[in-house]
Amino acid sequence: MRLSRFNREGIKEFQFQLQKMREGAVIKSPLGIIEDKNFVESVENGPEIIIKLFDSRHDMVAYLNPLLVESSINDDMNDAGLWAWLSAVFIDSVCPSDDNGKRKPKHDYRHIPTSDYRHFYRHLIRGPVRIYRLFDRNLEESEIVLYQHPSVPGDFVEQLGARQERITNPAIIAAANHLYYDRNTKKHKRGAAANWKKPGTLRRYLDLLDQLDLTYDLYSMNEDEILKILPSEFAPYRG
Amino acid sequence: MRRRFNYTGRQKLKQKDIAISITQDENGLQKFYADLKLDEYKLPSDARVWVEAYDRNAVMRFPYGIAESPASEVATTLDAFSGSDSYYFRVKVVDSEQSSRLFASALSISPLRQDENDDIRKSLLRITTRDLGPVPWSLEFSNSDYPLLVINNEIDAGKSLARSNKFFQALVFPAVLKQILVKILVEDEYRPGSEPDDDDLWKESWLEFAGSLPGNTSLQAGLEVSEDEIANWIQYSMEMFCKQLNAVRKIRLELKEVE
Repeated sequence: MRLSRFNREGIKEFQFQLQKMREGAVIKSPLGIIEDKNFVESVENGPEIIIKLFDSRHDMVAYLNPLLVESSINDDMNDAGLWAWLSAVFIDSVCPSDDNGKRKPKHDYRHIPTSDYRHFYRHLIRGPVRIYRLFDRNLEESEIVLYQHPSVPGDFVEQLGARQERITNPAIIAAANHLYYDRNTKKHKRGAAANWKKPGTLRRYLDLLDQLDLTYDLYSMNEDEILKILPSEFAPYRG
Repeated sequence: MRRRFNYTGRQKLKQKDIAISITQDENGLQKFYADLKLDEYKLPSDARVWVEAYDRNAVMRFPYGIAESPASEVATTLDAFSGSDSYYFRVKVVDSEQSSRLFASALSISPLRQDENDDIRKSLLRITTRDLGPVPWSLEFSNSDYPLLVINNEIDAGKSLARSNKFFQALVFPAVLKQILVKILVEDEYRPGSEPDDDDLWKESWLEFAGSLPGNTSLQAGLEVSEDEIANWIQYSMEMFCKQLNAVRKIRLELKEVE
C-alpha cells in the first residue's frame, strides 16, 4: 500500500468511524476506508507503507519519518488528510482494541489534526513525528516524550507539549529527560509525574521554567546550564 | 486593574525601536529584515542579539549580531512557517559570557507586511482555518498573543475571505473589533498604561488602533473612566471603524443595491 491521504470525505468518514468505535461498534483493522478510492487520494512519490504494530512512539516514528521525508510532501505538518490516513492505517497501534474487539479512540484530535495549537502535539502520530524531527540529532535525550506506547502519550507529553517554547527547546527536554527518565526501566521515574506540585517533580519544573524565562534566554542554554540553576528540591531527580 | 512588576532587571525594548518587515526571497519564501535601534538602552556593546520568529507550533532563532551593531548573520528565510503568516517575533539581548542572562527583550512583535497594493501594514489579527462545525467563524484569545480569527475550514475561500472579500469584511470585522475591545476593556478590565506588561502589548496595539480611527479619541493612560464611558467608547470606536471601512456601502454594492 502506498502512502496516501484522506480527502475531505475520507476525513469525515474516518471521523464517523471513530464515533462508531466510541459507541461500541467492533471495527477491525485494517479499516476498509484506507484504500477506498472515494475517500483516499494518492501522495506523489508516496513510498510503500507496511502495516505494523509498534510498542512505543519512538519505534513508530523511527519507521514513519524516513518514509515521510522520502515522499517530500510540502508542508506535511499541516496536511490533515495525511495524518488522519496514517492514524487509520496504524489504528491498532494508536487505538488498540480490547479483548472484545472494542476500541476507545477518545478525542478526534488524537487521530485527525486540527489547526488548534493546543492539540498540535496531541495527534498521536503527527505529535511524535514533530518531536522526532526536532531532536533527530540527540534522540536519546528526548526519550521522556517518546518512550510511551503510541496510544497513551501520558503526562510528560501533555505537559511539555502544551507550550511550544518548551517542546521546541532541546535543552529543556534534555534536562527533563535527565531528571525524570529512567534508562534502566525505560520509563519515567516513579513519582515524577505527580499531579500536584510536589518538590522537584515535573509540574514544579514547568513552574520554575516560567520564572527562569524572565531572567534567562533559555534557548541559549544547554542541558547542563539548565540543570545547574535548578534549586535543591530537584536534587533527588538530578542523579 | 492587573499590574505586574519587573524585578528581574531586564530592560524592555520599546516597540518603536523595533521594525521587522517581511518580504519574499527569489524562491517565493518569506524572509524578514529587522531594524533594531538599541543605542538608547544601557546594554554591553558585545551583548548577543537574537531575533526569534514563532507561532503556536514552531520557533526559528536567528543570531542578529551584537548590541552595538545588530545585523543579520545568516539568511533570514522563514521556512518553518510555509503556508502561514500567523507568526510573530521576539527580540532578545543576552549576556554572551554569563549563563545566557537576559539584558533586554521585546515580545509579541507584529511584523510589517507588504500587501497586494504594496502598502506596508501591521497585522493585529491572526487568521487561520479550522473545523468549527456549524459555526462560520470565531474569535480566540490567549494571554499574550494577538487575537486569532478562525474561519470554518468547510469554507473553501478560507483565509482569503478575511484578507480580500469586502462583503465578509464589512459584515464581520465590525463585530470582531467590538468583541476585541469588550474583551480588553470589559472582561479583562485592562486600561492603557505608560509601561505595559509584555503580555499586554497586543491590547495596547488594539487600543491604539481604535483610538486612531478618524473621528475617535484615544483612551488616556492613567485616567479613571466609568463603565458607561467605556461602553460608549467601544460603541463609538466600532461606528468610526464602520465609517472608515465604508461598511454599509460595501454590503449594498455586493447586494447590487447601488453601483
